[in-house]
Amino acid sequence: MSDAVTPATASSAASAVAAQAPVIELRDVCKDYGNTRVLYDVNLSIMPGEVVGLVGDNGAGKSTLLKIITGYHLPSAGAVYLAGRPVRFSSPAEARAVGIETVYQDLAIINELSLWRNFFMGKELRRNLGPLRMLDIPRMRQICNEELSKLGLTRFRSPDEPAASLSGGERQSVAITRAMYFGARLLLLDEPTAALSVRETRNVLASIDTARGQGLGIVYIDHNMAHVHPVADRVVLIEHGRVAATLKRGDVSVAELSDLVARTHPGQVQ
Amino acid sequence: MWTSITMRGRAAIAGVIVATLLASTIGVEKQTAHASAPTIYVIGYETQNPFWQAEKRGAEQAGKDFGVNVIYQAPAVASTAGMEQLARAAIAAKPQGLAIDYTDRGMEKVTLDALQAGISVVLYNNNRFENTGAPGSATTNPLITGLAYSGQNEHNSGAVLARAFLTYLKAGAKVLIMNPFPQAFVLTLRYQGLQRVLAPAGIKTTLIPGGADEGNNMSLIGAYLQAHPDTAGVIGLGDPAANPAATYIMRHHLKVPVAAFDVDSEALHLIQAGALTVALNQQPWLQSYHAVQNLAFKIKYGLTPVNVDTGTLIVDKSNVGNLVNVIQSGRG
Amino acid sequence: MDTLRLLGRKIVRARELGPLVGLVVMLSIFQAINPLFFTPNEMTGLTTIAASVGIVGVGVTFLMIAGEFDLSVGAMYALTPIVMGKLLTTFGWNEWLSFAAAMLLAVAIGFLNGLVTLRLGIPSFITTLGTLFIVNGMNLLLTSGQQVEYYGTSTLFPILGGQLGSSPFYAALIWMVVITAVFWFVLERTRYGNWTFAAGGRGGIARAVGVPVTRVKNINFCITAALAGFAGCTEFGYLGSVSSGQGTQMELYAIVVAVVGGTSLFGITGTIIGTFIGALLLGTLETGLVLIGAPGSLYTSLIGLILIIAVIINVRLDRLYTLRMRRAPK
Repeated sequence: MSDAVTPATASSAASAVAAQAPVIELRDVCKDYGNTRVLYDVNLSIMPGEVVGLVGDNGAGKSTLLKIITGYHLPSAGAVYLAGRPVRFSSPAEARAVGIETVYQDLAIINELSLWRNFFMGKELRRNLGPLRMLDIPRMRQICNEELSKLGLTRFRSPDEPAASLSGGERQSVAITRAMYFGARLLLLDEPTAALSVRETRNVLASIDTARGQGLGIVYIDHNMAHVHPVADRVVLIEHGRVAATLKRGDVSVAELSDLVARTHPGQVQ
Repeated sequence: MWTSITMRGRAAIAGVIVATLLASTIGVEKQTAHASAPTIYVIGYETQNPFWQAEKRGAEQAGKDFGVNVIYQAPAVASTAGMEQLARAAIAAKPQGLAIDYTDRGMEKVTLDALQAGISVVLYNNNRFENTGAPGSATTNPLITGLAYSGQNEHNSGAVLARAFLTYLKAGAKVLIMNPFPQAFVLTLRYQGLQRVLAPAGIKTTLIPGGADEGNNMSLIGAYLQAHPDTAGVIGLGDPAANPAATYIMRHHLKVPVAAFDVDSEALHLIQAGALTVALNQQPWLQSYHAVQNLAFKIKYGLTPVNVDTGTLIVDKSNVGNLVNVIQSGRG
Repeated sequence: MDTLRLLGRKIVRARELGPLVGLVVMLSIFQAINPLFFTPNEMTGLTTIAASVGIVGVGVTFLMIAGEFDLSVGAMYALTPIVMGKLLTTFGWNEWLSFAAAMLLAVAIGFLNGLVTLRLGIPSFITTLGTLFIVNGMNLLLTSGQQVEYYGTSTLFPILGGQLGSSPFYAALIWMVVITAVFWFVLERTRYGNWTFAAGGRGGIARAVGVPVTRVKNINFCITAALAGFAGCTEFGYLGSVSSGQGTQMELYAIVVAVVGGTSLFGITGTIIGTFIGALLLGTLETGLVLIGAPGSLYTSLIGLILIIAVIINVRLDRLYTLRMRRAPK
């Protein structure tokens, strides 16, 4: 696992990105709750290998937008496209089935259970024992071992250990790795580094980079600009149900970004 | 704690424990202290009730009087299953004698097993063999029906109490009967005994269930009496029902006679106060006392145990004085 | 040699080791005081008690792991054999049909427990407390205070609770072993077991990865009620009678054996084997105390003491283990 993409792969990745369809695209999406409109003409697209930061104060419509992406709600107007094809998710399960995974800050891993159980939760591998179908534990342990070893976790000894034996950041990485292993195409990370130390954060960012390198699209949701800014290629600001601004990382500093959200200093708006 | 001990340490501890187990099976005898005095287990119905506490005291006093080691065991929650388990464990202790409260056929196997193990067995408190030939007889095994019994005849006691109570009732009167232990078959037998006399005399009865808690029962009885002010009498099938009935009636200055099946110290006061009109005393202390005496005499002197009817004595205000001392000294 | 060491490590780390050691120590103590411990009658008493509370305990454990409680198991323990007995004696049904109908009723009540808890969002503690009272009332109503007895010829009763040849052991013990084995397998070696573990987690983690948590909990409610009813039927088969007071406080004893065995009250962590050991511990304690002639009231007090000690040990072990893991990067 490397923490930097080499120039050669970077340029080929870039051209590959240019040629590909966005992982997900929202076109003119609106959402009404009863008579109240909460989202207005949202246009958002996320390319493979791109990290898009999603920021905005509470009540701005961020969570509604996320719920539409993850299949909890259907848009009242507009459409959602997955890899160029229109989709209508009738349930979160459907969204998950096509590779849209959310990794919550504190809801990703069950600490008391072993790592392999966590890794394969909901997607357990099974084998036949006569008429019974039982868990294929040796294979799950092996795969879990392999995947987690790639992460280079210092505290990881065996897949049988409870997840609690890992640090917070490592658990986050495990959750991200799990999503990648099971073919996620779009990862939504909800405040992944909020409670973590600097060193722990680096673990998580490394996983995010790996995901990015594998062509996943990533949405990074956070209140803290200092977290979002260094990671995201683009930052999308949602305000009063609209996309208020879309900024490239290079165009704005952390401070300017924070100000923008706090609306004390308008700055450059697209 | 555990994980802070090294692997070897843990193995050592496990080894010590296994060694202890082995050593003890090879025959480290500790149970020689009472080898001289015979041991008798008395299995009771429950532990909370004052009635059963009297049974416990009677058994233990008999142990002292006759020089035998008495161990009284009863389940925390009254049940045949509970008694059966304790009786079985008692058999394993290989006592010389076992006194069993034979409530129903659930006790049959364990009683037979005790006899088979060479333990002397007597029955007490529960006479399940009255009306042999009646449906649902608790056993037809002569090994059990032939065992000595010390206690009261339930069905008969119901009839006796009912006859005494009738003198306080007019024809066509309505009487409330409360059963504090609906699952206890003997109370149902008492009820049937009552009916045997009350029904032909034209008394109308209503049966309501209660519980072990006197406070609760008082509320239930109070509610009933308020709803049915024409109630002419109350009978409690056991202490926890009769005592609160009498207390309630006394407090509300009602003129309703109350009958009870057992007399404890609380009932005593109520009789003296005139609130409890008439009661039957089956002398629980004496039942277990005689059970132990039976066993002690058999074990020590080879005498055959005898049946003891501990009483269908009617107690009312006129003769309660005699009873006061007895009960207050814990021999009720 | 390496696999042996790994196995050894696994055993020592297992939650079940604590209660197992406790059981061995208790057995040793009783045997040392009174060498009559390993006698047939004692074994009968021990295993009968252990089987009743053990079968109920396995159901309760399985549900606790999924994060829910069932306080109505004591009432179900009585209701199922009562219904079976009534159908058999009063209505003259075939005994197998009576048994099936009674068990179906148990499953239905378990299902209702689940429905009210999960659909209406009432804590299972409260729901099943209500069920406990309702079913207790039903028991009193159905029996009118009398015992339900059946001593006629039967092929089912020996299967439920009959003696195994001339050994001191009864069928209930076999049932307990079988049920323990089955549910150990389901919990530890099947996908459904993994889901059961996950269902005990808070906040919908399991749901987020696609585990059908509601369905799992519903099924587990049914299982718990069914096992409690079945345990009651084995006692019915053993004694030939059942009263409405049977199984009183069984819900508490079941929780005790589960917790002493190493299952957590907070869900997720749990062990079926531990419950098995806990049940044996309870049976040993009760019969052992009688054997050594200790006062009867000591039993209840000791249970409470053992429960508290077991929980303290388990909690400390968990904390120490996690701390130790955290503190030591490779």
